[in-house]
Amino acid sequence: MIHAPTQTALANEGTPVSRTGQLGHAARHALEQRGTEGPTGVALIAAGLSAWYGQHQALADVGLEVPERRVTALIGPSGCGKSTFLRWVNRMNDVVRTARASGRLELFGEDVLAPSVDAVDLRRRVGMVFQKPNPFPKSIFDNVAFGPRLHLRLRRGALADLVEMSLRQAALWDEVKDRLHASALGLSGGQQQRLCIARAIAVGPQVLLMDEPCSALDPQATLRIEDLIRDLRRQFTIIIVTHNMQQAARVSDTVAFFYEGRLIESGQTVQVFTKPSSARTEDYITGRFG
Amino acid sequence: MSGSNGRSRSPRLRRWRDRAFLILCASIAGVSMFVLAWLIGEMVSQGVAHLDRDFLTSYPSRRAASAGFKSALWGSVWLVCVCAAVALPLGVAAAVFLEEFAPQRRTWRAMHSFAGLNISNLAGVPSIVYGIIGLTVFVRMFGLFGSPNLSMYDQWERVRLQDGTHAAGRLVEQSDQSLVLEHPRDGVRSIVSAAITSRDSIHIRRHKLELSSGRRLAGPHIGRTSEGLLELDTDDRERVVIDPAEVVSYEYSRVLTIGHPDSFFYFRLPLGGSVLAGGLTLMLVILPIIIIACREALRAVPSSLREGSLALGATRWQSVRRMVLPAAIPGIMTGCILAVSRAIGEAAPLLVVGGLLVVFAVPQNLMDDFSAMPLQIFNWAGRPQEDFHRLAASGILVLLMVLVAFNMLAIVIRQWFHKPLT
Repeated sequence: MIHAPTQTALANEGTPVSRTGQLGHAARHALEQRGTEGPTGVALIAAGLSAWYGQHQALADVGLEVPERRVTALIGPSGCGKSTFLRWVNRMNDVVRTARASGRLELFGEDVLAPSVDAVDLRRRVGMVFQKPNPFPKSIFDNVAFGPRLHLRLRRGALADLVEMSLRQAALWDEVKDRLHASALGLSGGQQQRLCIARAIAVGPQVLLMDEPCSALDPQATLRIEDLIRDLRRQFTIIIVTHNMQQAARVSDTVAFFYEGRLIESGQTVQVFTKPSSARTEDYITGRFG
Repeated sequence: MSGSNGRSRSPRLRRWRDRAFLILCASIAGVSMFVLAWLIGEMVSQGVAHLDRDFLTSYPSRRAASAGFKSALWGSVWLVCVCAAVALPLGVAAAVFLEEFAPQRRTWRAMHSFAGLNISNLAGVPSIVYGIIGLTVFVRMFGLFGSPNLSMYDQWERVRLQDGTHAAGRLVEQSDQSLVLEHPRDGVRSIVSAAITSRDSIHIRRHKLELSSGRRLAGPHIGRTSEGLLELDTDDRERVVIDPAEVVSYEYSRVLTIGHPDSFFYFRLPLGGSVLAGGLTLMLVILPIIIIACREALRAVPSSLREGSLALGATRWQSVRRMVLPAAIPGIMTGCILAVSRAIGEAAPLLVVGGLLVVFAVPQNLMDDFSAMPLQIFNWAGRPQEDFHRLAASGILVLLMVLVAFNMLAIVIRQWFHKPLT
């Protein structure tokens, strides 16, 4: 399932194989392939971002830059604040009564934490895919059309085109094109998650947030989602929370390591996985804790 | 002997206790089932003789042999329609507000949860209490619009004439060619009936007079003595005799009505002991039940669906309208049907609102008097003659059949419309 590394990537300057030894062959190749692309713009900048749930501080003074149209993986042990970070980017934490945040979180130059920002409008630009696939109890078509119908008045044909395009982008079209009007709940877990991705894409977001999108899926389905993520990074800025180091290595361009609410280290995936600057990062990546 | 905590329990004793508990439960359940079966059997044996088409199509009568259930059946239909039409939207809206729109601020949140808690308490309030509330709020409307009893007011005729003018007054005389109206200021006026384009009857709540001496008088009745003087019963229950020449100005306020009492849209304030007042009172009884059932149904919608919809940029209302409500509809409908079936069986609040009337008609509009199935049953059961007791049993059978039908409907909806949500 993993793309074969190109010659240029293989010929890339020698990365110390010893460090990436635990990651497995495929992941290592994927890693090596990644370093070849040039820099892009910055999609998201967090500066001095702290967040609380009631008295409990979930994030402390996080500063992070997320490059545009790249995959950024947030890694770290459970409860380290990865998901909290994600849920502030699209202000999903507005729903949580006790949640509050301070600092700056700039999405393409606009501070999303500012009270003037309309969370509803923000979420249209920042899609989210959840840990557990949550297709609506509607047909496959209606699931994908749900977002567009909220925001746009589309004619039937245009809506159908948009649904097809989104399903194609989510690599699901061929599997469901004959049963678009069947219930989405009849799909397998992996298909459901790709449907959720299609649903998020259909709104036309700039950023896609993925909160452990593969943790409820089997390895086969996981690989398909990872392929999809690699395809989608051409169009979307993707931030993915994962517990799976190999997955982070396989899909991400940059990695941010969180520990106890703090950002310990961030940088190019190759860099972080091969020459982590913090001992704690190295311990976590190599599986000594977490 | 096992472990450190002493003697082990005898397996035989444990098995015996297990069996004893089972027998206890089974016998309690058996007794209640037996009582129920016996009651139903008694009703059927007493009531089945009267239960025929005539029973459902004839009005109550002094003679048991020809008495029927028609006005009660249709009265209940009207009451339930009014009740459901108001209670369902209100109840669902209240449940959505309580469940989906919890406010963020602390003070509002406290009020919100206080309201929620109280609604749960209201579901346990005896229905007769709602009857009293209905009597004050709907039947009498706090006395704001006068008495619900129209017969205590002067009834006037009001006619519109061909030249566009109006005339009003107490009807003194009427013939094919003309009518004679008496108005406190205009005096007695005779009108040729050919000139009348429309005519209706109004009730006068209050007559207000100002006299040339500057004195102001007001009261519910006005009349004329044989000497041609005006005679006013004032608000203070005095009778004042006035020379018509002294009256500087005269005004009246009428009982608020829309349409003629025979028209299907007839409406008046206060509502009095009408179908509308009865239905609204039943609405009070079942509103808390509906709200609680709807909140349960909404709570059963997984929050992952709400989050999914919010994450796509839905507003809270869009999320409720397109995601949460459709998913909760089977539960909401089941709860509402059960609540409405409760309303069908209620007698106490209707007794307070409408009284124990014997009604010989099917309601024609919202202001008509009503009977209802439980009221008619109560009426029959309270009579001394044995024949009427059998009629009551027949009425109970009809009522039970309606209730069972409603419960079956609720079960069918729950089974058919139920779909997995995740």
